[in-house]
Amino acid sequence: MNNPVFLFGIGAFALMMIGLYGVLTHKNIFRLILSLGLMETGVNLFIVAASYWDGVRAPILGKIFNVKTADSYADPLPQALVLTSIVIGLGVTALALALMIKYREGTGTLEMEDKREEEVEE
Amino acid sequence: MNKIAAILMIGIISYGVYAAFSSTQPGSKPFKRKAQNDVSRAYLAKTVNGKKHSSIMRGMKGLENSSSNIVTAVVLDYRGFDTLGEVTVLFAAIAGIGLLLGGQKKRVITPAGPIISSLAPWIALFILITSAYVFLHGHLTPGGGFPGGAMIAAGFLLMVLGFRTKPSGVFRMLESFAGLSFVLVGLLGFLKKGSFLQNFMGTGEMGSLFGSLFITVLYAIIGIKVAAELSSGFGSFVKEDLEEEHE
Amino acid sequence: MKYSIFLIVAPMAMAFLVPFLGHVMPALSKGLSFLTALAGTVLSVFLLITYKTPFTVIMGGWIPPFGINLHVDMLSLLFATVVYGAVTLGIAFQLSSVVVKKPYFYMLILLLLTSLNGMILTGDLFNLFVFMEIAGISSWALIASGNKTAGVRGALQYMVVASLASVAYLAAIAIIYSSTGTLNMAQISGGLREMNSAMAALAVLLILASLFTEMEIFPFNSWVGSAYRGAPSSISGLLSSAVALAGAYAMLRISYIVFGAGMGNIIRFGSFNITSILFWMGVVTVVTGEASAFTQKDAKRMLAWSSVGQMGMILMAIAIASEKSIYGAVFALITHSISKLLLFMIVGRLVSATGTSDWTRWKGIGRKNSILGIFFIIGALGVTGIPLFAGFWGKFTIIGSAFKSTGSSYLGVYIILAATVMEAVYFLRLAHALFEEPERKPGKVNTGIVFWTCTTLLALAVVIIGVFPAPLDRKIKKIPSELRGDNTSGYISTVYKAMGR
Repeated sequence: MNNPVFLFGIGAFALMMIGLYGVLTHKNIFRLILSLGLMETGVNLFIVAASYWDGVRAPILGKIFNVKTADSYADPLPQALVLTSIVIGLGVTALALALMIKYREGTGTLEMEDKREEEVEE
Repeated sequence: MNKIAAILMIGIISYGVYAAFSSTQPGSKPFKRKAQNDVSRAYLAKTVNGKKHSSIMRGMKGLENSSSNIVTAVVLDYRGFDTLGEVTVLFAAIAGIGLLLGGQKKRVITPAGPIISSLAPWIALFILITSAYVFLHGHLTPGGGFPGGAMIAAGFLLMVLGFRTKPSGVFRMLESFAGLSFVLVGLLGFLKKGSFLQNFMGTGEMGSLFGSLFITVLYAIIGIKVAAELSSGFGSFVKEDLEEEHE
Repeated sequence: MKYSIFLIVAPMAMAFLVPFLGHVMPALSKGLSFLTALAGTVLSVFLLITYKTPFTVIMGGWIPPFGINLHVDMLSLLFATVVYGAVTLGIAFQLSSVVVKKPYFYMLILLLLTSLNGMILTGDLFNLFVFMEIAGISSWALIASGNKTAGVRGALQYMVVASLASVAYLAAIAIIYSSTGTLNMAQISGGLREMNSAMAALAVLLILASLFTEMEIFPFNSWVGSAYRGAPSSISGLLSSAVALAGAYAMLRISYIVFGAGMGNIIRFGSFNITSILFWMGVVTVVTGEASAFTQKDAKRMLAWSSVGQMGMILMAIAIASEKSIYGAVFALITHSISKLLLFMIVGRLVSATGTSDWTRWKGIGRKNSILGIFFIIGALGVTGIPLFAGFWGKFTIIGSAFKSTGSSYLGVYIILAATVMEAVYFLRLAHALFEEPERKPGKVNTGIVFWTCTTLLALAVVIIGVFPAPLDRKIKKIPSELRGDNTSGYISTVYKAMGR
């Protein structure tokens, strides 16, 4: 249990579950977006943690890099994936906030409820 | 009732994850790694094209990729197509915000206090210089186009706060110009080397500032694009905010 | 054949150009969006005609496990062609509408087109995620783009479910990459078998949950009704004919290539059996989807739930996993896209003519516009799968394959037949209402040359495919053999060849 990998993993899982709880129990759109953001953070941590092992350093080659020491560097691919997924998360959150503002303009509330008799356009 | 169902569901998921992680059947599992796999080893040792080196030194030439920061090499070179998609995600999101919130209402502008308005240009200047440093050194140090662009956008935000300047259509133009240049770089690679987004500028000295021109060019494009995008996205939101202050 | 990257890159470049042009002359940017989609259709048809063997396109000049590769075979080309055709007609339909949209609207359609083609062509698990997110973001914005709140509500519901799905997908990617060390679909196929079986089952379940959301499978489809109803009709049509199609494609590809080393080979981990999960989810989706469609008084919701029912049927066909069922699934997907797009176009115009989407108030509107009513009936028969209409061949083959399969799959025969009866009832009920004695004077339906061209093309396609399925049949017959893992022209061998092994 002293291994930091487990701490990262458990932390990531906890973040995801807290977010999931928020998504399942709240009807307020802003809280839904916050919970989704929490889940995204958790899963980003999870991607890095799942490919991390003890004692590695950042995958930036210094003055000299001996191929035999490759295992003392962290795996670069998950970090690249996380970079992509953070930006995607940003885009999703921004658009969700815009949807929220428009929803509020239309209904005057932030609560999600299903009204069926609204007008539709072509 | 809702809460009980949620807790029940989380309990089931947690049990499933626990069962999977504590399973003792043979086979590979996550969180058990101790070494690089084939893919990441090839990225680190730069042997994707099959040319082997026993060690890589600063100043070396003729490598398949001359970026010291391997994450940058993966993001922009080995998996550059993902990054084009990522840039497109941001573009789509900002365009969606523009489509949804692009109201035609009047904007009310109030002047800021003297402290902000006198200091904002200077701080923004330093932010600009730092961000240029960040994305020019993307292949050497952590950073690159995305954080650099976000920093420029932060400088712009400061200027908006200071002078309540109007976010203009120039950002939209800049955004589409940068996006087009990314695709254009990809197409040049396609025409010259036969593969979309392939590095056609060659590789220079490992670890020097202009050693990997391809990555620098792409990161500059991304930096401009992200800065323009975040600024114009912020512009779409700020209209609403400024209005509500005066209601 | 490396020119197939233009299927993805051309609409993307055009989308980047739209803010530029939209500032100067909006009309030009809209016209160019349409022309880009049209040019892409021509390119994909050209690629489809000249296609001989599957091939891999390398991106960035790096061979597959290190770089990203696109995989082009009959399945992906066929689906890319359908997506392009649907989007081209959808843009034309929207352009001919009285509701004027901003240039950004067309730009987002182009981005949707880009992402759907990316989903269809890519051979990399993470790249698929990126394209799924672009598709998600552009479709939320498009759904909410109308002036009414219904669309925003639908988009928000879709957004919440799809974000949960993308978190699940990313978690699965983390597990798979950290255990197998690769993101390439062909390589993971072998890697999953070397994983700890409980862990692999967890990853598979997470991926299935997110693909079910893309494919509108129960219980991940609660958003379908409100999203389809609130969206502008051109977008509802595209959601049903292109987005769900790409979702079903991803399901087909991942269940056969990643989860199984080729067709009919879907993996089992001891008692954990993916085939039965897929099959029973399909059954539940057919039942719930058709039942909800049956009870709807809202025409757009009815069409939406009918799509769900069709997707459930296709999932059942995927689970049966025989040569015939794959043939049937692909055929049914393509014909469903054509017929549903036609139905949504007609329903959109009826909504704008009557000001309501409640079909019980559409009485008599078909008397004045009899051709429109006939086209509606053609589309409805096409979806239902009546002989001589396009939907028949797919459904017929799926039923035939369920008949021959062993075990509980035999149940599929009864489920699909019962669903067909229900579909026939609720579609003909609506069609009957269209030709009933009107209660009040029906309004004028806004039609024009563009609208008639689009609907005539689609209606002709439904009838022609129904009567002469041979050209499509020849193409689709190749697909099952290309999905097999044990021959040299299959997906996995093609990618391994590109890797130089």
